[in-house]
Amino acid sequence: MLREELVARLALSLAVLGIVVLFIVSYSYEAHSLKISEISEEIKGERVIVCGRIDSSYLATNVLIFTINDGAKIKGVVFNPGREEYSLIRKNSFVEIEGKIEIYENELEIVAERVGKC
Amino acid sequence: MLEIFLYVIAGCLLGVVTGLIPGIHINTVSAFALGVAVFGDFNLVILIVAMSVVHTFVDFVPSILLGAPDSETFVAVLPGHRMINEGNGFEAVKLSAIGGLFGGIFAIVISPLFFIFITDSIEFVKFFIPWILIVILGSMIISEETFRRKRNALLVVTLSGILGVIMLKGNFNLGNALLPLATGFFGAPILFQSIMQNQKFAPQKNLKVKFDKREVLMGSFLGLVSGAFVSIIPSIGPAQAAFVTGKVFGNIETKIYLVLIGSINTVNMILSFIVLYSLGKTRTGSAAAIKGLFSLQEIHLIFLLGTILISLAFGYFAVNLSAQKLMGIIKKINYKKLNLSVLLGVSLIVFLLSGFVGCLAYASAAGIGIFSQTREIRRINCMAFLMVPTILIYFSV
Repeated sequence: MLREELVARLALSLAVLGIVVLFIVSYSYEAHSLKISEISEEIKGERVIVCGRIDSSYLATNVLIFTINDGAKIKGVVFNPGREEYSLIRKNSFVEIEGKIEIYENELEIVAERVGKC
Repeated sequence: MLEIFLYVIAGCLLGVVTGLIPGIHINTVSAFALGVAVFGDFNLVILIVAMSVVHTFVDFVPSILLGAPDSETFVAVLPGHRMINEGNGFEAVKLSAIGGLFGGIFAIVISPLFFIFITDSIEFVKFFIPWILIVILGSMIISEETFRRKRNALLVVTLSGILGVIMLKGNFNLGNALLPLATGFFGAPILFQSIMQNQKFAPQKNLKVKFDKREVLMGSFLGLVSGAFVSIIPSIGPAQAAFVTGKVFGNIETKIYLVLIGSINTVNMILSFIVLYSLGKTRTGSAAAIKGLFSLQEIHLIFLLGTILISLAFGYFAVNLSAQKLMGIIKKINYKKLNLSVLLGVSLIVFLLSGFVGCLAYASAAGIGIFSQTREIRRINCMAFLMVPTILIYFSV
């Protein structure tokens, strides 16, 4: 009984400690601001923040697809976009996009996780 | 024609390999094939389809017999382990295989209807998902028996949910974050308990299994419905669908549940090819690899159908053979040492595939799993690690 109690406490402590460490470590993986021209295949999977003008946007089935331009261009997507994303991602508006760099059909794109104003 | 047939057989054999070795996922092999292939190679499409279908059968063998699951089969560990302790380990594996076989056949039969249905239904179904998940989360906690257990269940749900959000929605870029979490929550605690309690591999009853028609048909049908659901909706996996189905239809018997899980995996895989063909969307790693390799036309569907049918039969018999062989080996060796080796092996695979962060997540998940095991609350509460991030995705948080 005592052994079970000890195992339970140790297991819970390990879980809480692990979660706290993961939470702290996750900060070092935070997104960093970049110029679009600095985005390359080498940073695929990394989270970045870019700021620029929306050149075009259209809605496919549940995916908002857009092109953002800050002197260079990159395609972006928002899955399951909400009202806020619709209103922000409009042609000629300036937005800040935070998301992961992915390669889709041999082309770099940013998969937006957060959309805000520049 | 002979060339295509050889690719089907090669794919089936590769599916056995990827299924039997925990941690080697079909997505890894598919990604490798994609890396070395030239666009337009239909033979590789055939290979990937055959491998993927057979994999959905064989990956239950290590999940159930060794407690070493992957991200799709971890829900089979607990009922499978229960049946092993009752001496019915082979039956548990065969139930998942018969589910895969019938589910696969049903999926082929309904595929024309599914094709027509999918384009119109997505929006309607998606609206209800987060609400269903919230109700289920609440009912998981409330349904624990005493106040003390309810309190512990709440703790497990909260910690699992936080861990899931950090790993699946956080800043990390792990190729397969589900592997350390799934093995940590569901595989490691069982192995740990077996080692601590010096459990013996229970003598297994005879290898002739008689299936109950009702169990097979009901499990396969529920698997068909759930598998179709999974293949339509992004971010819901076979494990979540099995869990939701289990909750929606009440206390499903262990045997039907194993048939259901086997069916979901195979149905999801087959229908993901239909979704790829009809919508161009990828719902499985295999479908994503095919999309990168080839543009499917109507004429190719007949070849895919043939490949799937051969693979279904191959997968079913491969499970029988590999499970028998593996059980023969397990009987002869020290079970405690085997469990220890599997635990170390799985931990090593997690480290190799997910690195330091994955190991940390694996240890935390194992801690939560062991806590719920020692406090005698249902380990399914750990499913909050998938449910909470899914709810947040649907609410666009």
